[in-house]
Amino acid sequence: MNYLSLATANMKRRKWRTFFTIVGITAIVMAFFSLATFSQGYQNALRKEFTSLGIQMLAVPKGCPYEMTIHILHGGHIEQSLTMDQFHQVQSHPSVLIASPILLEKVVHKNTQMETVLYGVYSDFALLKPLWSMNQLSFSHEEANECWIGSNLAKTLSLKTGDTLPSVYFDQELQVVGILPQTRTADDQFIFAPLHTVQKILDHPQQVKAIGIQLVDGEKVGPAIEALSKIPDVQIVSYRQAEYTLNDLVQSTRNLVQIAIWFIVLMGVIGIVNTLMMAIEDRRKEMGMMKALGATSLQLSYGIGIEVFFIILSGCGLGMILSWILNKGIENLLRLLVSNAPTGTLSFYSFSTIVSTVVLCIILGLVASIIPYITIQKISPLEAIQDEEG
Amino acid sequence: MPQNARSRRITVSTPPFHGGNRSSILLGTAFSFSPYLFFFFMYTFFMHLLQYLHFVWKTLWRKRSRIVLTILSISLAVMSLLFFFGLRRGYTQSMSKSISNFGAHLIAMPKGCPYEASSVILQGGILPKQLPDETLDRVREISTVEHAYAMLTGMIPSHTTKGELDRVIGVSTGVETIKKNWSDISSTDLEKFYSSHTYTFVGSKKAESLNVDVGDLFSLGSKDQLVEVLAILPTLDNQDDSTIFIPLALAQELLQQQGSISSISVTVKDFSYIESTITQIESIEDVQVITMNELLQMVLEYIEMLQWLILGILLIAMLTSFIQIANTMTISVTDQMKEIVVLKAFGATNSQISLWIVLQSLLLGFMSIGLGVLITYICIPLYEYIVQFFLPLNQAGPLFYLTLYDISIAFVITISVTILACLYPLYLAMKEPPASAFAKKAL
Amino acid sequence: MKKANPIISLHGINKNYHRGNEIVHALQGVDIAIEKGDFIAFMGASGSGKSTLLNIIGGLDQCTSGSYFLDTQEVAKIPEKKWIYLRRKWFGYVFQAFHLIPTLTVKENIELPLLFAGKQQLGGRIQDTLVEIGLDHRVDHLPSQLSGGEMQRTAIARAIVHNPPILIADEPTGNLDSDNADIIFRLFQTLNQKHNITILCATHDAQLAKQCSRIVHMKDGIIWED
Repeated sequence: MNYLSLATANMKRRKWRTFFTIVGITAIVMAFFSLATFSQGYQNALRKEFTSLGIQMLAVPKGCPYEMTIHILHGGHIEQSLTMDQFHQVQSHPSVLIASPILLEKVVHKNTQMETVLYGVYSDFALLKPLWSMNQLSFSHEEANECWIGSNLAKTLSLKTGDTLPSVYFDQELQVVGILPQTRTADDQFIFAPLHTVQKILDHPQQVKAIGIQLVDGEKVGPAIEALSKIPDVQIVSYRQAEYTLNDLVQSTRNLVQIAIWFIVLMGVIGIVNTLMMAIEDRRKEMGMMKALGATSLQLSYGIGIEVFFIILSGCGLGMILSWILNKGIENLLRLLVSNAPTGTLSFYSFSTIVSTVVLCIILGLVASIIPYITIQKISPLEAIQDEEG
Repeated sequence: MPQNARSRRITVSTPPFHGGNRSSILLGTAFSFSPYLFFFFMYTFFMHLLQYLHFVWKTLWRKRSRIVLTILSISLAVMSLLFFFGLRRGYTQSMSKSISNFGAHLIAMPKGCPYEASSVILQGGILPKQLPDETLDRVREISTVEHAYAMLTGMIPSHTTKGELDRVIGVSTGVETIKKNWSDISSTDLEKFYSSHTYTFVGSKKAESLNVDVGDLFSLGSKDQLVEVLAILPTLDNQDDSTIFIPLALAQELLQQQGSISSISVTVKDFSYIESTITQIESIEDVQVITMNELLQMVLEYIEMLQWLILGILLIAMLTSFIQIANTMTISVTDQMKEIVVLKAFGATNSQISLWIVLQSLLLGFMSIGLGVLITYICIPLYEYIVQFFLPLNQAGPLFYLTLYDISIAFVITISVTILACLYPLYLAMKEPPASAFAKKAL
Repeated sequence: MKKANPIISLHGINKNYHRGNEIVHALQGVDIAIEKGDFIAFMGASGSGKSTLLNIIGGLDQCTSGSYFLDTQEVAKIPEKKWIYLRRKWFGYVFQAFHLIPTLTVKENIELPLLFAGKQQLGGRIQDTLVEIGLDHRVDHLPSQLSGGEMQRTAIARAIVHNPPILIADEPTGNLDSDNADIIFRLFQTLNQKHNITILCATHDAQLAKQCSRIVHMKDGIIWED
């Protein structure tokens, strides 16, 4: 026999109490772990999205530039527009290497109500998309009724190169001239057609919603932003700026959630202390007897300690596993909390997150063990052995 | 006997209080004594209840540490709920008040993120971009615009408190037509204010911190510009209370932003003209518009997020509380089992035993709620201090506001959990037969 | 006969308790010397102080005043932390209510003192003790599966597994019928004669006390006959 078998026997005595305490810890760890993985995952997903843009900055019309950046990434409605004149002003600026106009709008399948985004672009748009591994989107001419479509959309609509995209999203059929390689970004769901064609379809003549910009010198972002901002009614936002601001915006949500979680963690600690104190109360006479048999307070605490860590680590493990299993559900919930969240998975499971969760649980266990340890110290063999009925 | 004799006899022999009269008199008597009867019964009921509660309390208090820990744990759950209820209500109220006290229907501002700019305008700070001051004239020329005033916001080093910054807003003429707390300022004072660089209007909190009153002089800015307090503005519970208002030209000088303004606040002649006014203002180069409704919408979206958060916390907090109470009550009932079965042996019914146990659980619940509410109210200043770093577009003025409704919701939820949690202990107590009172305990 | 140094020697032992405002003098000036190998029955009515005296001798309680020599060491005022080690070395305890751990088997209950003393390697000792006590056929049974007599024998096995020189038994037969009580006392005699264990036993049963080598009568906290 050893302390482990002693602790196991004790835990089996109050199976349901042990079980429910583990359930409580599991819920707390799930919340904590989900926040931690979401926190890192959100940043990673955002960075990946911006990296997939392949540009240093965007020129956008008046309005919140960060919101517009998200709309451009995910597809959305942008109220204001830029003119082709403004585009040419940007394009002709000496600091600009590539300026690619973007016109986009969300479109809905007439039958299935499935949404996608129609992009109107120039062929050099492909240069701004490093994940496509293409130099250009080839169209036969700038007003061709042609399109490239994302790989997932092609699968959904069962389309291949040469097929015709029917007029289910808008009143125009387009010939599919290519399927884009899979990038695991929102692009896999979108339609890319020549700018002039899309201007006609959407009835936005001579308008664009944004201009993707690559600079001659990628280090001189600041001066370029200042110079290009002087073009009337044009805003310039660098993708680092957008990433930083969007992370910052979600920070307030994250902080509030953290406050909530600390409340709950504190409840968890008190819960464990209470459970342990009840366990000690249950076994007061036995502990007194064991002290009479030569057990020190520390030895008795080993047994309790094993129980604490069994409960904590079970709760911790279960919490992390449940968080992983219910990942999708939690992510959907998080998307409700955080509007304009990046596409792709928002959770990021890293070794450091797992380790920090386990370490936190161990610290909680240690903190929760302080009062029980003091209580065990105070148990005297005599008072515990004296039977009221004897 | 004559036919009438019987009826006459009946008539003569009828006692004054026959059946019908007796019951009505009894009723009448009862009715007149009913307030006293009511009070008597209520008094008796409460005395019994108090006596019951006294025994219940003594039973619970036998295991002090367990009870204290359970109460602490549940009161934390109550506190977490009240924290988010209070934050949601306080933040909504504070922002709504702040936005409505702004007075304007629209704000015209330079291109950039309008929400960021609104935050700076509402909280204080310097916008990265400015508008040329002739934009104000162009806005005023729009026919649907009722009133418009320009402002330039900035922060300057404080002369009174080293290391701190004073929030300064330079305003053009017309501010008194829009800002509510300016409407009572006399036209003489306004004229003095606009025509000179030496007068200021100070927010009530700022006046307190500067320790100035009407007529006092103090220094402003790095050039030690001396200004006289012309009026202390009425309290609005927003950032204006902590602001020093100076004429636009003086602000442009102090902030070294000559010819620039941060934004223009606009009211329209009629709400039906809002859209066309926005279009016309946005046709001005590099100017964009945000409406107060859009700002409020952003706040409401944030509040909606808070609701979901509350739901998540509610679930976890109540689960943890449920486990705590269930554990405590189960142990408590197990401890008292001998007493319970003895009571049963002496004739106590199951409902009496159930009442005994449920009252213990309820007492735990009530004490936890009481403690939770008390600590929440004590901690509100601490909460206010902490959350100001986390909230977007946060405002001066109370961010926490709890109503009786919020406390009632927390109360109902906690008591429901308390009652649910004592179902298993009740079952334990019910199933033990009275005969076990006489059985020897093995160990 | 040459008298050896007493293994236990108490002088002027007083023990007072506070019961509300009242002070109860549980022991008053008790003097007693116990030799190695003694089998002593402490007799007296409830409240006579016999259990209190045994608790003080066994280190479960501390006297208010007086001196207590265990072998040659003065132990009256040593702290509880040090008593743990003395208990491991010197004492085994048997109680009226058995105080077995309900979730552990007979073998595991007996093994406890060895676990706390860090002597689990003495597994053979457990088997020997079980055989001696006559419980080798109940090794894996839980206390709830044993009779009263078997439970008390398990408690005795637990008390002697670590070879203590002194066994303290407080009303060991209080919860047993006469047949089982007899068995227990015979077991004590065997342990006393075979292993020279000093046995100090509090009991009400005069018949069983006659089987001891010495009877100490107590009344109102004093020894009035030895």
